Amino acid sequence: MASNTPLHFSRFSYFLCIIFFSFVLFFDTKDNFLKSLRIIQTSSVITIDLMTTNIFNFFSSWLDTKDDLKKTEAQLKSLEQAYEFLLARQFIFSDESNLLEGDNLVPAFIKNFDAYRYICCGVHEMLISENSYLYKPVLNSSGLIGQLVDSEGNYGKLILLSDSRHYLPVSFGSIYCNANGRGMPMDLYCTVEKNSFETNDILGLPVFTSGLGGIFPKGLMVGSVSRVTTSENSTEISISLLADPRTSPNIYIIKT
Amino acid sequence: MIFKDFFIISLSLLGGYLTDSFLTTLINKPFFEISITYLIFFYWCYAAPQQFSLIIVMVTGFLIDFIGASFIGTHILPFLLFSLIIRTYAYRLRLFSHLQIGLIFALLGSIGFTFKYLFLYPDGYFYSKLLFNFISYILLWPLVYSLCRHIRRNYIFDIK
Repeated sequence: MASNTPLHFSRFSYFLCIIFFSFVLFFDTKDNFLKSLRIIQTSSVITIDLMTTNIFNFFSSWLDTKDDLKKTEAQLKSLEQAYEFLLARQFIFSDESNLLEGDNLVPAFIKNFDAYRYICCGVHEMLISENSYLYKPVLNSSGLIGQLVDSEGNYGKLILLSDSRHYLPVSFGSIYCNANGRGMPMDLYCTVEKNSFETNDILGLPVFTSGLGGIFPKGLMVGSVSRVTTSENSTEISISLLADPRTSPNIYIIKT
Repeated sequence: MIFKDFFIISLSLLGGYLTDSFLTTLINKPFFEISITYLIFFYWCYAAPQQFSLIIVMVTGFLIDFIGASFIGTHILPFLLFSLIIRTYAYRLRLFSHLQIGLIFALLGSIGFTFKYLFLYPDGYFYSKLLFNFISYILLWPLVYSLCRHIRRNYIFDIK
């Protein structure tokens, strides 16, 4: 076929489809009206994951005769869970509200987390196995990771501290501010008045929850000051978060 | 186009999407992103403009949106627009060298990238990412072209 042969097709139908899907996209982003499709996708991913794990376990138990090895692996897994639970308890020991009195940590698991969109697109949310305790803070073995905000079916929806919709009242030194995520993994940002401190004095300072707002208990470590940027009227402080939500599937909800 | 051809094309796009997400997760830098999915899509539009029709474009776009749990239209809209442009100039594009085609596709891909980030995920938009994306299109085009050409010649018998 000659290289400049025209290709005949209906451009009108293309324009019609573009207009139609523009409306679909607009209303989907605005009202989330095709949420059910995303729930189907998420549940499919969870089901496929469960099925492959079960099939793998079935065949490995069928072929594998090393019972001792399997027992040791199961023990190792439960020990890991117990160890992470202890680390989480040790973490909340630092707060000033006596959270350790009573059993205030509810164990849960991460059920669905899109690591791709976490890095690329600033979508910092995940589904967890527990949907009670709405609006309660959530931590893993290394520290605070987010807040339970909604329930989706049997699962809870958690938004991470670094999500741009999340605000966390924090304090460091004598400074109090509302730290806010911007969709950057492991980073929070605070804007404070200019000249209220010396830059070198606060670099590296540990950052704690201030307890203001009443959701996050006071005195829990959040991270440390990593960068200070001064503009004309204000100073922006970057905070590196202590806990990476990708390290372990075991998480804990602080229920009080 | 028979179902097998459609299946292989969808599979190649899905493979591209999984590669994108795997590499982004592996490198773990918010300033890095490549879009092999778009390059594979460009290839099929470029190599099979007659067979890669409106319905196929919509269905593949929908599949990628569904699998990626994105808003419906995130991929369908750019796919429709790019398909319209590439189909309009389908045979004329073949006059250009690979570098020139790579540049044209990089420009189109950057439009798709900007659309995705500015309208849907503004938190993830960085100029450095856009630049990296643009360069990666040019560099990866010959590779994607050879790979998809191999698939087309060996497994898809309807499109010659």
